Amino acid sequence: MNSLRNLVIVGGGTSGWMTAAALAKFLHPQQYQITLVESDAIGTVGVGEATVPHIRYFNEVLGIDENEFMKKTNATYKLGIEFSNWGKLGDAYIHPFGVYGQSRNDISFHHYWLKLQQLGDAGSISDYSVGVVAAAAEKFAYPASDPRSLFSKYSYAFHIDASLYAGFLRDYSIARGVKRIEGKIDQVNQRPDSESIQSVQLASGEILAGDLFIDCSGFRGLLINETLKTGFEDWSHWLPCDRAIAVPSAKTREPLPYTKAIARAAGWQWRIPLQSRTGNGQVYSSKYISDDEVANSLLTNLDGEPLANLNYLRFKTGRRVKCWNKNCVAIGLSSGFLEPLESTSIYLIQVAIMKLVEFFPYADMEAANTDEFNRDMANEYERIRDFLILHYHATARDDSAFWNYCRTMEIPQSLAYKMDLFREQGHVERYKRGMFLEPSWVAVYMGQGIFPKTYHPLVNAQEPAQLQQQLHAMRDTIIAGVRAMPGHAESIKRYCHGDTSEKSWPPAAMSLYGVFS
Amino acid sequence: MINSTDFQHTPIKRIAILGGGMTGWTVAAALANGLRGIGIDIVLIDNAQQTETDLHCEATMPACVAFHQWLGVTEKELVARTGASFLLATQFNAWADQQQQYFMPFGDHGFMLNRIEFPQYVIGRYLQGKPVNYDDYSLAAVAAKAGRFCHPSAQDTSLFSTLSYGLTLNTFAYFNYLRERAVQSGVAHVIAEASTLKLNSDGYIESITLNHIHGALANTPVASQWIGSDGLVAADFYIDCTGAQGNVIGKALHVEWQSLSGQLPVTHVINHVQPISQAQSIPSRRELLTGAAGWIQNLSSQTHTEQQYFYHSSFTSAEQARIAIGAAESAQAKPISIGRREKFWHKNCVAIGESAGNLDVQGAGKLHLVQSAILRFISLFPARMAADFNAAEYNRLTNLEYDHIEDFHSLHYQLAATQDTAYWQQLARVTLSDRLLHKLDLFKKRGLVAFYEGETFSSGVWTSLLLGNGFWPQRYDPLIHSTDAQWVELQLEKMEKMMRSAAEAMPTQSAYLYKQKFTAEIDIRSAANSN
Ligand SMILES: Cc1cc2nc3c(=O)[nH]c(=O)nc-3n(C[C@H](O)[C@H](O)[C@H](O)COP(=O)(O)OP(=O)(O)OC[C@H]3O[C@@H](n4cnc5c(N)ncnc54)[C@H](O)[C@@H]3O)c2cc1C
Ligand SMILES: Cc1cc2nc3c(=O)[nH]c(=O)nc-3n(C[C@H](O)[C@H](O)[C@H](O)COP(=O)(O)OP(=O)(O)OC[C@H]3O[C@@H](n4cnc5c(N)ncnc54)[C@H](O)[C@@H]3O)c2cc1C
Repeated sequence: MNSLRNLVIVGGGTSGWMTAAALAKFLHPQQYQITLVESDAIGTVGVGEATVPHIRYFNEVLGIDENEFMKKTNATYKLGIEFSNWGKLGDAYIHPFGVYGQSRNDISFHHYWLKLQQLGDAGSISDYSVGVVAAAAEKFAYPASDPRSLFSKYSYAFHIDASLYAGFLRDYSIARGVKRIEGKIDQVNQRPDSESIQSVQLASGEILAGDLFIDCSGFRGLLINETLKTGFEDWSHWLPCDRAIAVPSAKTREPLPYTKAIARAAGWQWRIPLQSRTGNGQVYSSKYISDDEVANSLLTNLDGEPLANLNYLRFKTGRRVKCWNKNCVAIGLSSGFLEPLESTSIYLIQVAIMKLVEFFPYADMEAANTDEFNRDMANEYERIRDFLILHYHATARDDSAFWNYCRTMEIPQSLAYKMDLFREQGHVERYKRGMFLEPSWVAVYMGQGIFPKTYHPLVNAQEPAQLQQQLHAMRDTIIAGVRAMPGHAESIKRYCHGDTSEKSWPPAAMSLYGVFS
Repeated sequence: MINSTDFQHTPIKRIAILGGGMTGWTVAAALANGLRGIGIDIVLIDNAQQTETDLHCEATMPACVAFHQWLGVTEKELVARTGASFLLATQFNAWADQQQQYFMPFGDHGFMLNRIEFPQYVIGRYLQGKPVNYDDYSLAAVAAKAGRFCHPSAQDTSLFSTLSYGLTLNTFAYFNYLRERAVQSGVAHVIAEASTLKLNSDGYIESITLNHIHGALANTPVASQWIGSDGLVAADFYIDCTGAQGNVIGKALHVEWQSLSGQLPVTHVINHVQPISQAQSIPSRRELLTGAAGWIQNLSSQTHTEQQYFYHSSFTSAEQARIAIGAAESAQAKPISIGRREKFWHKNCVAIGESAGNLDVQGAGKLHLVQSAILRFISLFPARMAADFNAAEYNRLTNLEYDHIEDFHSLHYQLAATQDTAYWQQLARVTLSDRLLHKLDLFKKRGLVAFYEGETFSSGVWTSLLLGNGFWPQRYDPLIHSTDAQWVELQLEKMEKMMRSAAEAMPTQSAYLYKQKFTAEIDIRSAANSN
């Protein structure tokens, strides 16, 4: 009955093994044969260590023990990302996984904050975010389960060793019947009539035929690009970074519960703390700076001994015009790359997997089904794209050619519209589908110097004195609550190395902002 | 003269609502509630001669119940005072074929099994040639069929917590009720005809001249506060609720009306209202059935039933239409011009109600659009009268809402197109939007509902419409075979039984209204007929 039987996953990086694990979980092993090919000779990108809270949902669905996962991947908790020097040199703000304050009367908190700020007494909007305050204080606790509590309004993710996560999922997949083959694919054979993919051929001569191929082969896109020639939408005029150098360094202090993203002359530098080491790297535009300059700057800025040779990476920002073409679905770097600024890649892998399961095909690859998948993925990519461009564009920096370009470049109409709307009266365009919603837009707008001319007039329904008092009380509650939280290192020790095997963690949700709503 | 730029940048302190029909008073009550505490004065101007005081019934969706909660209306009081009834589902008769009957409840059918949406299993059964009655898996459908009703349970483990409902309102009593609330919360009411509008050089409205000001008004505080000696009313923002005429947005601001493109499905409505006798039971459903040149809606409030025949005048005469629903000879057909304004918010004016757009009403009624518009306006309420981007966002969202509702309605005609009268045949040839074509295609091929941002109807409701009309997919989710088939069978059987016994435990709507003391206290009939 036109059903699929053989699925071949090409690639054993983060995307390949996440896909294998999820399919092994959802597909009946007697009905489907899942094979994954990876090449030791080619290897994986090997970076990609910062995640977003959605990964907890992925793990939950797979039935993975969160504490065991942390132990196995050398993980630390992540409450957000600190952006330094983006709006201007010397600035810093944290984009938290959580909301600011509490909305009232259907009016979001930032409107109240704007008013109080005009009265001269608001402090930073960050003072009203549990996630930010806890991150800055290097604390970590699970969000509270009472949805009325301010302390329920944040979420968390992890910094992980991505290769250990891939290994963890490999064990999971193999235990559930996924067949792993090591070898380099030399040739891809297409069906003569339909040009869809018939089989892949290994250097050893072995031929793997399949009904559905999942291209997780990384940037090159062995099937989606090199074989099927699916077009690529180039976004490098908006997201101009095209290279990265990565290097791990020795641990010098207790790990921070957040990622650092420090803007540099022609790009930015990340610092990702794991339990036993720190991940570092610079992302830059080769048009504005040389590899050597970046390598130097990276090494000078390390706070601990480098633990490996520098890893040089090249990429182009943009997305595959169709993530799903014929009988090939591109997941991971083969489907596009938006640069790692907001740790969106693993999220996009996860969304693609969930949609593949939702739109699981028959052997004839019905066009309507494929189209809907592609429409959804394009939408996810474009919404993230606009959000990332905002980070580069919303800047006063004029200290380098790179920043001059970013500040003055023409931005997508869809982003210009969102920014105009926010500037007018603080309104954030609403949508249901998309990773970054109102709190994130507010974080970056305000963190990088974009303020509305005015706030929603309904804020005036509250007496200024009362507003002042309430907001002060809120700040005090947050400070006191965070003070009572255990330190980050202590929480890791307790949950990840404690001897109880009980489930301690809260449920997960497909949301950046909280798990209890 | 005031410098126009200063004028546009003054904060909004005074709002004038033009029109005192269902739209005007809904807007007035909503603004009085939503904008309270920020020192905004509101006046509603209506030309009583033109206000329609006939009784009509209007069906609403669960969004209306939420709107009332937001408004602070006690539902019990509202229902008792206006004679509204509760509504669980729409019953469709004879759309796809003469024998057809199905229900469209507000909530979803069945429950997700093993992370796969419920309809997939039903489609699977159907394609395996097993008998299915989709509506058996919906508590609301089963209950509506039997005329039963109860409120959703607050306990989320209870099957009854899955119910959601709308109201069938007596429009005249309803807007009187809202008028009372609005006036109590400080909305000034002026009875007069708005005639000329004065615009500044940038096209913003500065003032409006009133004619035929109601005599009783002279020397009242309202008059002195709002009406200048020259008969002028000056406000910072104007809401056009003047109905299809669009006296402000269209006639004065020249924002164009765009007729629905292509073949218009209906051009007129004629109606027939009858009181319900004590002995009659009050249904918890409304009915939609097809006619030779259009379709008929049957609604029942607590006090009245109304039959409304929406028809196309090229295919029947008003007389034939009148006879088709057994209306009195005095019944007048009302023309309906389906379409929408090119913009809804323009300068310092927002058009709401029929002045903004007129859509078919199979899915979402007019009142729904009014409530949704006013909430959207409040969420984008401008600090100054010039707010180009808030206006643009309002217009964008409203267009999205209309687009998807239009799609939903055009699908009703499309699926009924197996009928062989000239009217239905020509509707079968109407071009559908690309959005809808994709939706149909995906459903046909795979039983999934394509998602669009800004839709009014959930995928459950779309599925109900499609399956109800026998639009069965060719395939279902292949992964349902990863779950044990016998277990699935058992779950389906259990669900069906659960729905049946839960519905049997519910009282009839009439008994429920009586027992819960929701029954109308005042005699709506005389209130309506006295006009
Ligand atoms: C600088 C940088 C920083 C990043 N930071 C983050 C981050 O913080 N958070 C985040 O979520 N993401 C991040 N990413 C993205 C993240 O690295 C990737 O999304 C993730 O690693 C998934 O990669 P992949 O599995 O698609 O491809 P790869 O890791 O490249 O894996 C490709 C696989 O395909 C196999 N393969 C290729 N060709 C063949 C062949 N011919 N035959 C057989 N096998 C073959 C390889 O053996 C390998 O197993 C970052 C990316 C970059 C470049
Ligand atoms: C005969 C008839 C049959 C109908 N049948 C149905 C039916 O079967 N089903 C259905 O759903 N609907 C029906 N309707 C329509 C329904 O009642 C109205 O469409 C609905 O009430 C819309 O309300 P509205 O407030 O937008 O506009 P309207 O009710 O038209 O209200 C317009 C208001 O604006 C005021 N106004 C207009 N111009 C001025 C001015 N210059 N100055 C001051 N005030 C002004 C009027 O006085 C009035 O108060 C029917 C209407 C008629 C007349």
